[in-house]
Amino acid sequence: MRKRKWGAFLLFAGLLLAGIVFLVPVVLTVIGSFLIERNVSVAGYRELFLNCFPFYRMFWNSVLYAVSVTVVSILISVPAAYAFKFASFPGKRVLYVLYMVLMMMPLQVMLLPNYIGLRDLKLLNTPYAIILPLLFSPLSVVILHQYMRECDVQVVEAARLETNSCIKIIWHCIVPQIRVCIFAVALLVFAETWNLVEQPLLYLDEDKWRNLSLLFSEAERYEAEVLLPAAVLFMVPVLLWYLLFHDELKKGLKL
Amino acid sequence: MKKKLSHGTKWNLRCTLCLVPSLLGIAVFFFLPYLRVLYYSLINNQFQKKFVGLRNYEEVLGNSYFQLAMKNSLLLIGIGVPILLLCSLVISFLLSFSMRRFSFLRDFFIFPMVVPTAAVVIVWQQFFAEVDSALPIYALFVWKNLGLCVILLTSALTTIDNAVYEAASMDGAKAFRMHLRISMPLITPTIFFTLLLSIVNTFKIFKESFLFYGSKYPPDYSYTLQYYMNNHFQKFNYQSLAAGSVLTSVLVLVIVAAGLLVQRRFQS
Repeated sequence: MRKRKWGAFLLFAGLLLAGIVFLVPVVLTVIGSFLIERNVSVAGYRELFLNCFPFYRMFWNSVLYAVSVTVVSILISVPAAYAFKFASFPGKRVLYVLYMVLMMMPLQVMLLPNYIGLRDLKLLNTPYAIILPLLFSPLSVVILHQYMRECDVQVVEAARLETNSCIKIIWHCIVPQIRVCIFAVALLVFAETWNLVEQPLLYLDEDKWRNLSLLFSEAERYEAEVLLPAAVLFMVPVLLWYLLFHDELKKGLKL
Repeated sequence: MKKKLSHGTKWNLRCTLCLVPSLLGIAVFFFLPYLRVLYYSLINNQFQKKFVGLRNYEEVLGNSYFQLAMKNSLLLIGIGVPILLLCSLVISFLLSFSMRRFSFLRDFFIFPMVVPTAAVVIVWQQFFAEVDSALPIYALFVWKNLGLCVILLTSALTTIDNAVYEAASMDGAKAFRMHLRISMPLITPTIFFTLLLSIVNTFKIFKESFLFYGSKYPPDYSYTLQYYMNNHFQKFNYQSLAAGSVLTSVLVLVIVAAGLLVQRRFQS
């Protein structure tokens, strides 16, 4: 019995250690942002706030992209997932497989197609070049649809006696049942969009619309001491989201 | 009866319409441009538009940088993915059974999923400054993807009925053997899907590698498809880009199709 207790303790210690290792990069970033040449100081933050003007513009661009993409893509994906669950039309299964394949395609495959599509629509060098392609994320549709499999269909059938409006049914019968999943998807989409690197690099020429991740990919353009403070501020919005919705993230993903 | 049927059809039509915005966007931004890319990969250049068959493909496949990028991707699939899967299986089993009381530890592993890599990459560069191998990229890969695997695996493990274990332990099964014989087969579909997703996610690590090396040129062992693509984007060399995109998409398609086929085999 005693031997088992020790074994359990060792397992717990190992797991805890592994968990802490996973937090180390974030913790070091925060600590590093307050250190300048081994002295504790907020000079990095002061420099960032007072002298690094591109930071503000890049930060707000990131906010613009992440918020608009998260909100609109949910508004598009929930009805699409609903249609996959409740509508029947020829080719539905093939189409769903197509969504799944698209979801698994690496970004690199779609960069050129996206670029060509945006060029033809004359959207390059505008914020729409970043936002529009991201709104139609097949990943969100697939995750939401998988979660909807467990939805109570009787509620929808009962509601059908009252209304003919799909929007009303989605809003009153579906959304409350998949709330957890919607938050999980929103968190994932937000985190993805917040961390965009390739698209702004390739689709935007001017600095005006660049987002904050590019500050780190083109780090040599900026003062070294502002980088870690900027990284900390860059993490804050996502971490707030995570703290609010991490339970939903764990419960909402079932594939 | 007839009236009711048409009523149902109308309703069905309305439900189908809900798909239209998403489908339209996918068509405009992904599907139709992809067809054009397919066309681009078969012509000599955008001006003459002469059909050259598979010559662009031959060129890309013969290009040593494309080969290097592919080799590195396959290495990550062959080495990184098994490590990732093994770690996430061990952690998921521990969190779901022997360490159930400490399931808060799961948050530690999920956390990196949402942390923007661009933010931690500076620390990563400093920490691995002396390392002369692809290790930092493999570490980033595991760090970033473990959370998703753990979420998927633990949520599959919690759906297993406890009665199964009670029955097994009545027969005197030891914990380790019990999980090997009972839990593993029960969550095989999920393990399999996690494997597939991890393989596909190896391609997503391009962003991390790109951030890690910054605008420096990467060493050979970390050269990825993203660098190849960026080079050709800068040179406006759409033909090679197109052929490269199509080849990569075919590779992913083959992996996904093979995966789904094997999974179907398992189930039946």
